Amino acid sequence: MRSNINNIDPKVTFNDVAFNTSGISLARPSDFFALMKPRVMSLVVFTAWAGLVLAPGSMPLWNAFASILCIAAGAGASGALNMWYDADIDAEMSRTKKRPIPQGKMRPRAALGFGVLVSLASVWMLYIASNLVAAALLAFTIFFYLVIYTIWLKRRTPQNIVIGGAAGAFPPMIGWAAVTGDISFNSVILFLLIFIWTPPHFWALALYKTIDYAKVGIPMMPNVKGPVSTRNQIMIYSLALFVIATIPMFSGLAGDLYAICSIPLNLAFVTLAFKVWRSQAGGIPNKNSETSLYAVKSGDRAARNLFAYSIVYLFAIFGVLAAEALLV
Amino acid sequence: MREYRDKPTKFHKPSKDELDARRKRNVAMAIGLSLFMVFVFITMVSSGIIPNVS
Repeated sequence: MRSNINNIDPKVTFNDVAFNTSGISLARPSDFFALMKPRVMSLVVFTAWAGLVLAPGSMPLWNAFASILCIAAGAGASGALNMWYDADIDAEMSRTKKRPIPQGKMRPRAALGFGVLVSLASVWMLYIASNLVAAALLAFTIFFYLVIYTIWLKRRTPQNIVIGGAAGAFPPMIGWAAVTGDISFNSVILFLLIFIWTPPHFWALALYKTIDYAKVGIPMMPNVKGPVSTRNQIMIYSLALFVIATIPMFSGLAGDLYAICSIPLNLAFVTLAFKVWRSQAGGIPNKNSETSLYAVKSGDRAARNLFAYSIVYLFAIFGVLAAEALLV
Repeated sequence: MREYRDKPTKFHKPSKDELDARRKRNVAMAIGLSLFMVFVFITMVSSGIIPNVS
């Protein structure tokens, strides 16, 4: 499936985008920043900060700032490494074709070099700023995202984002470890919150982007098991998330403010998941039936709503947890 | 001493966009590395690896 893009001739076109003939890259600093998936990075920064705030104990302000910066850089580096490996399929998908490599602004090996360099620098710096446990967790996260998720699972199994989701769930745990130097029950709860949140978040997206993923042969759940099974699983994971999100109230991680805010946030999540479950999202409309066409379109809208809300949900849940830790 | 080199038969003059992109990359790299050095130094002082003499 993977094309030999690393040995590409400068004059050979890469998906209709010609590389410049002089051999000088057209990549600007902003393209390297785009490699780091800034939107994903913002979520990583926020959850890592929450983990740092929630952890018992304290650390010098500068070290806390440096730790978050290192976690963000590590996450960005894994994004760059992901774009290096996935350059061939990124060029085919509408959601990713505007990334710097498919656009022909830089060679994949430039992204590889950038990713490796930033990975090493971020892990080393996190060790200096905090401790070995946090640095080791960051190194493992980068390895997990590149090797386990991107290279191994993504193109092989519909469970790709379930297992691969662990990579996105580590940042609050790293933030926590930066302060305490260990992994505790409450930091595992923070990990689980993101880990269980990931499948409904990505499958909602996959439901209305089914064609995109099918085009490049990525075995996302709707393409492999079908939309009905995907909608069922979205519902199950959403209910599981509700359960996981109640644990902080009893584990000493959160108090009344979290209880008041998290219940409506979770109810809204389950309601939107229920709407997707009842809908025809991801289905193939019957061309002869106008009703069927509208049912699928309405279902896709429900999936889109769940996807959008899931982002707000994660920010809100971690925001409330952190706010309560800071205020109380 | 005589040097033996291949003649550059496939040379293409860089365009203004290419030179502009390269200049911006060089400036960003210089700023990035300078900030990184400062960042490493302050973090080392803050962590006690370099003693704070002030």
